[in-house]
Amino acid sequence: MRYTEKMIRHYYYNQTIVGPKWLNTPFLQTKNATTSGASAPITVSIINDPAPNINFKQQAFSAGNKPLYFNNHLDHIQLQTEDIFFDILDKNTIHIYPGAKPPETITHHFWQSALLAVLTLRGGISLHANAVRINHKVYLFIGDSGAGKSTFTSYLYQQGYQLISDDCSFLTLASDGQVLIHPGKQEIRLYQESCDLVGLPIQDAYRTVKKLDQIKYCFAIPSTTETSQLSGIILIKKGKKTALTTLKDIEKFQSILNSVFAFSQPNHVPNPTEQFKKLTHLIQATPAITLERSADQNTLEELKDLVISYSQKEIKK
Amino acid sequence: MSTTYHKKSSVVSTEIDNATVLYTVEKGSYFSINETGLAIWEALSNHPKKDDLLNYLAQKFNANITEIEPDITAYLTELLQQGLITETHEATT
Repeated sequence: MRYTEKMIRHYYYNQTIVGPKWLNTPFLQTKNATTSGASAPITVSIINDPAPNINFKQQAFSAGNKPLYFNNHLDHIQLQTEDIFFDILDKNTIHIYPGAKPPETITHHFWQSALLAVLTLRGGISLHANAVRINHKVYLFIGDSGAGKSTFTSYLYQQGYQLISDDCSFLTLASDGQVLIHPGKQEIRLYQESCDLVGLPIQDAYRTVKKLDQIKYCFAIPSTTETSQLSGIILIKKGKKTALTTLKDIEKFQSILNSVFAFSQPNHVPNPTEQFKKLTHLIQATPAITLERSADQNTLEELKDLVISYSQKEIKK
Repeated sequence: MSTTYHKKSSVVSTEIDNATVLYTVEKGSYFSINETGLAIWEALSNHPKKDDLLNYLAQKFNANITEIEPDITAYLTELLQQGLITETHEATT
């Protein structure tokens, strides 16, 4: 299959991406390009030749059910999944060897894996987390898969709060040490049960994806193009009751570290010492709480009240 | 036989609230250490030889070497097993 390259530019995590048009998805903002921003554009090229024969020595892990193989080096990353080979030559350049895979599959892995790898090379931190603006402050919601991050943050969105990112959040450190969060993809993905709980009709989904043989419904959402300061981290976990407690010491470290995509997989971080220093700063500089929720999903309003009240107390401090 | 311990350069330590965490960049694993563990970890930088280390810690904690030696040895063995330090042996003359 040959792919044509109609070059357009996309904005995602406040990065300019120059690549084939079909890499776009309906919810992404597309604008005329400008290189006046702080970051150089990320240029994506499709290489129709056979992929280089790379021996992936490092351990494989699953990315949305599909094995993903990594070779990390200090300045470039190679990764392969479903016979698609991403050669990330440097922090500005991605070569995709698509094999026989269709654009939808390539696009999926590009946004899920290749782009995050570039952002890591660019010195940022990508986390498995959602972010919401509450009382003019941005909070990051972390937690295990299935803990209820997307359900709760979608509920907040439905209540009028601005969703900054869903599933994956991208942070950088400013020169003065402030932790900055960049807007993520403008999409929410939910299982039907969660759609029903938060009041998003599944017929409004613009597409569906399969995860572990279950269907997730994807909704396009308005978001922001602004980079914001991160005000706090909220760990959501299932418990026996609804409660809010301070998250500190080793549990804070462990919870945040486990949420960072690169650090959840040993040996998959280029320049890990430098990344670790940044991560340590993030953990030390950002207050964190644990939001325990009972198995009963009908406590979303109660959880919302707890978080709003926490945010108001933080403002008064 | 004299034993010298070397902290691995791939291990970084950091303080989070009241805890100290040692993180191994190679393995991506981390360990929380208490105040005494931190004191030993820090002492290893200037007192890498086991005899010196024991002398220094005995003075610091106002204890007999024979009293602290088993605990320090057990801790150093743990650090070795977790890949946080390496050891070299030299014949004493």
